[in-house]
Amino acid sequence: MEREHSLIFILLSRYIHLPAWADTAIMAGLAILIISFLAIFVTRRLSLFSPSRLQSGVELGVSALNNFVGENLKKEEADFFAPFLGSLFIYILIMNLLSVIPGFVPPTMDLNVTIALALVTFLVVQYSGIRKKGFWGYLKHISEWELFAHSPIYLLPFCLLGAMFFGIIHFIGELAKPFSLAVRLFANMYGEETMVLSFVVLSPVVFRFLAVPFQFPFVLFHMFIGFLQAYIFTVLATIYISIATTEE
Amino acid sequence: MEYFVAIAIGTAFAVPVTVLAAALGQGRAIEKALEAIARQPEAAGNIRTTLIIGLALIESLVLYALVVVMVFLAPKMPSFQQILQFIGK
Repeated sequence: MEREHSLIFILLSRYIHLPAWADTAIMAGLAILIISFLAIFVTRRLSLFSPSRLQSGVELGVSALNNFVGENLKKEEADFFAPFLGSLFIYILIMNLLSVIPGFVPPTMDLNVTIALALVTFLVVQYSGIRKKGFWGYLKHISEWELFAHSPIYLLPFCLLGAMFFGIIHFIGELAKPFSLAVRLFANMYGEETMVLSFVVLSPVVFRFLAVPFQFPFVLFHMFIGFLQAYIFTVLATIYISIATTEE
Repeated sequence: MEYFVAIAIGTAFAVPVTVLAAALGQGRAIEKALEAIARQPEAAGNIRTTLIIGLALIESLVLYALVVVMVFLAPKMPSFQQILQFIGK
């Protein structure tokens, strides 16, 4: 991203000096560290009969995630993919909420991070199709082979050509999914962050020596949007898996 | 010069036009959801969840336009020195 050309960053650089460690890679690593410490801290003293408050809360969250995945996928896929979808949700949520701490930038504001997440989701969706139907079944699925299955044998070359055509169209459609996932998450976080930063700058621009937290309602809205985008990413990943694994 | 004028007009109009269309779409979605909730208050929870997902999906269309402007149009805008050169000519 060419920040020198954007007016808002020229304006911002006059008033705000982000520290050098406010880098998206470091922030993503920080999010992973936070999640790891939380996981270790929660599972240190597990108890079946007298669970602590923290354990009960986390169990509620995990069972809600499992229920949500179980509603949208069949039993076998739900058991296999629920850990992936749940960790996707928690990871994106923590990364989005990092921006609430002053001086931190959310890693999802960087297109590289969201493209990586979307590519992983794309690979998992394709793998779920191959796992369910086998490699040939997957190829038949994306090339719409049922349309040509009952045609006479002397039309076979034309059928192969048509299947290739459908396969290419389906594959382009599949490639559009991770693109839209990545750009949606990036654009939401970038837009929100730009809005919050411009309201941070508003007070010194207008009042000179008075600091009024104009950005406060927008930070709250930012938290809501961060949660919503993490949720939507997970919902769409679940729906893509369920599309890839349904039998016609 | 005309090239930069065209870029400026495109940059200025891209997001507002998308916002208009998306606002109309969101208004329709909210209207229908409110009607559905008024008709069946017991299904309010499901309707609200679906509504919020739909609203976020519509909203992301606006942000696609924002990304297109930021990534493809805004870097082509002339810098301050270039504008001064144009005026000086």
